[in-house]
Amino acid sequence: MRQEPLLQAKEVDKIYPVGGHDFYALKNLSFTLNRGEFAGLIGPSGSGKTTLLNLLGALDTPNRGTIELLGEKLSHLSANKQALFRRLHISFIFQTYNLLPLYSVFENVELPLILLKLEPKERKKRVHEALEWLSLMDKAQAKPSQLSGGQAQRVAIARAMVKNPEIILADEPTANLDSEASHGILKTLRQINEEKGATFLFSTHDDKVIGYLKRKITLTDGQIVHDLSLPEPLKKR
Amino acid sequence: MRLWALLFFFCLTGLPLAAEPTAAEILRRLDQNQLYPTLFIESTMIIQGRKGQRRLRSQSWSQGREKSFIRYLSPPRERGTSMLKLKDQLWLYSPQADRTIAIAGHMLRQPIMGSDLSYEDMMERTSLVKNYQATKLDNEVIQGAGSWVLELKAKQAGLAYPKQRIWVDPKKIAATKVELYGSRGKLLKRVTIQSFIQTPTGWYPSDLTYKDMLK
Amino acid sequence: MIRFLLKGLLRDRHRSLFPLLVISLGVALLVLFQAWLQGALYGTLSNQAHFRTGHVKLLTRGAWAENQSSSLDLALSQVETLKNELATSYPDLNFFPRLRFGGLLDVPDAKGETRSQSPILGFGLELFNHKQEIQAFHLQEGLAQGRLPQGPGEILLTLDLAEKLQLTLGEKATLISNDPNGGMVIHNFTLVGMVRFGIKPLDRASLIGDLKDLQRALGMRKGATEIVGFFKEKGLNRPRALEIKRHFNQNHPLSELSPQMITLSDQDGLDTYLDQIESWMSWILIFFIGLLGFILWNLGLINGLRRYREMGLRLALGEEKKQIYQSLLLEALVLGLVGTFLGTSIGLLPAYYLQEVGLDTTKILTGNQNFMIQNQVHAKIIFSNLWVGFFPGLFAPFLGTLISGLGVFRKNTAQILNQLESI
Repeated sequence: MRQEPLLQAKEVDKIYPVGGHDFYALKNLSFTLNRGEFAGLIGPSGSGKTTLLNLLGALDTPNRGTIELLGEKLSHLSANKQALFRRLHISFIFQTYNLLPLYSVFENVELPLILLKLEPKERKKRVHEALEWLSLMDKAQAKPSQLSGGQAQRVAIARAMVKNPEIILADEPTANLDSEASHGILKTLRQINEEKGATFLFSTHDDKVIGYLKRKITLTDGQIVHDLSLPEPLKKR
Repeated sequence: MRLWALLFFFCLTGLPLAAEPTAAEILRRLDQNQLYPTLFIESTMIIQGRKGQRRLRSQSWSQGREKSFIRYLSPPRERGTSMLKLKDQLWLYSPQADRTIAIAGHMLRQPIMGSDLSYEDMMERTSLVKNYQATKLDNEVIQGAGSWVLELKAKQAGLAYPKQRIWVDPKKIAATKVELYGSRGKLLKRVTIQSFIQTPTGWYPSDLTYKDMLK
Repeated sequence: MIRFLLKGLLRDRHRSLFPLLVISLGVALLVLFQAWLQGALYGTLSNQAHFRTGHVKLLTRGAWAENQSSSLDLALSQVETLKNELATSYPDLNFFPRLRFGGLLDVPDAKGETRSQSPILGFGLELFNHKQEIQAFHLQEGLAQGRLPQGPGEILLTLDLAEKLQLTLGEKATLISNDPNGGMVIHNFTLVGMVRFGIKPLDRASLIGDLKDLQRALGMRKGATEIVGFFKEKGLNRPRALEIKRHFNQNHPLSELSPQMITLSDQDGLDTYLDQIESWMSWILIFFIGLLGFILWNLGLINGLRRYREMGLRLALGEEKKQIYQSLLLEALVLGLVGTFLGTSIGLLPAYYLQEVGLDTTKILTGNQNFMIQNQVHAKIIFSNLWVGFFPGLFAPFLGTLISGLGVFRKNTAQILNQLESI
């Protein structure tokens, strides 16, 4: 596999003021994520997983250090440029799915494409592809409230993959799902990673998720304590 | 508007007393002096108006407190207009309209012939003793002569003037000034008696001024 | 994107229907209220002018100083001469002498003695030759029984007064009053008609007769208590009235019985009243803008909270904060526009009804009133009814969103997103 760096964090600090003192959520953190990885940030609550994920997703900026996506320093971009970066290259999958309740499954998946100002015809084609891929075609006109948790998260996945992003950031994607649904979702995500080549970075402390990861980056107190890449016997490429 | 009138319905007589009488006694004397078995008066009322003076001549006949009749002699416009009073009722007759009109209610407060005297004032011929409780105030000096001053408070509600003040000449036992007050203590009218004529039983006002203090 | 947002707007009743209802209702109330005030206040003013004050009025200095408009000893003399002078000097107005007096009306029984009696407010108007006075007093429309006076000795009474006196058409009644010198006036009249003005202070006890006839009866051949003047066109012109007043008063002596010109604004505190009408209008407008703004702002704030999920997601999907803010404002603008259109239309309907039918205020207003308030008050639809609603209807929700939207705008993107997870 070609080792093509997609995302790089260099000597990153993230500080929150807490009760008059500086609390280091991340401290001098550096790591690189390559294209096509299926990696996860592992660690207990408060270890800095979500903070890092926000920085990598251009939702927040570090107090020190740089974050580079596709060779561009995110931390040096204006808020509007950051938004543009998110729009074009980054997708999120949330623990609580965050589907818009007023819109149908089709419309929820279509939204990222609308923001990219694609033609309606092109949008329809891509949404249908994504829905078919996730076996959701029969639910296209359903509202989020009519879906099970597993189905809702599949819609969220469809929405994340529909614009073919460079990276998908998933924050505890199975935390609200039962075991069976979780495995279904994780299998699907691995499938997307393997068949479509999408890069994934998780934030999790769920063993089920950890079991599917190809690279496990362990965080404690805002610092990386382990970074373990597994060999890839399953890889069919 | 001011009014000078020669009217004879305040009828006051009296004899000087050696000792100063009580308020009640003075009131009784004033009351007594108002009353004649029969009375005929010919008078002139001078009304001082905005556009000058008007003179009204009239004749009146009365019997006790309860019956009286007035007929106007001049000016020509009023000639023949008459008023009849029986107990507490009053009628007006107009020869021009050939109408007899009862004067009651609202109309009682209207001025007679544009003067400061209302029909109600003319009706007020009741007994002071019966209607008022008198107290004596400090004596005053009026026109160089000492006067007794009485304050009268109504014994019952419904009188036109719930309070009066009367200045009495001790020699004549006749009122020289009367102030009439409303229910809120406001001075409504003032009567001043400038001169008297002597009758066989007392002193009778021959020239008096009647003034509406609100005008 | 606009289509996408519009779909959401239409599907979310909390965002569309409720604010729309609030805006429409607020605007409708404002429009209705404005039309109502316009009708009620200016209607009252117009009556006040016709029945009492004129646009300008001439009376003696004494009568004006002592506030004795119906005192005959302070009446104007040589009225015809004065009227001609006025008509020549100020040809843009019509002038009418009027006699206003108090007295008592006494109705005789078969024996000629008093059957019933009542105090009256008398009006001597130019009835025989001048249609304008009949129009100004609404006599033709107000005639409930009988006819208007056509010859000497004939009078009209208000229906209420005639009923109180139990006087029927054709019967005689005796007026008891005073002449200018205080002399007694006792004069017989025949009742030929009964009128109803629909204005409480007038309906209570008015007697209307021809000016010349009453002048004769009251012993004041060339006198009148006032001469009222009305602009021939377009109603009251305040600056011109003031100009006429100044001009006239400069050229007349200052004695008690010499004539003095006053304007409508000078009388019955109408100057303040006129200013008040204008300031009320603006206060009402400000109040409605404030109230609607407050409600819609709160609605906007609640909406903002309810829509945090949507805002957060849209931020995560790469929409700029500015775009989101603009879309919120656009939404408020669209709602405001539609709401105002709806509200204005809704408000005009009852306003039109009140203009045509009116509202009976006799039960609402009690007590002694000097103002000529009609019993049946009508609204009046004016041009500004069409645009007045846009101030609160459009600006209030816009302003509300502008402020509440700042919350989204100021917050850190990650903060919003984190809150997303906790919702």
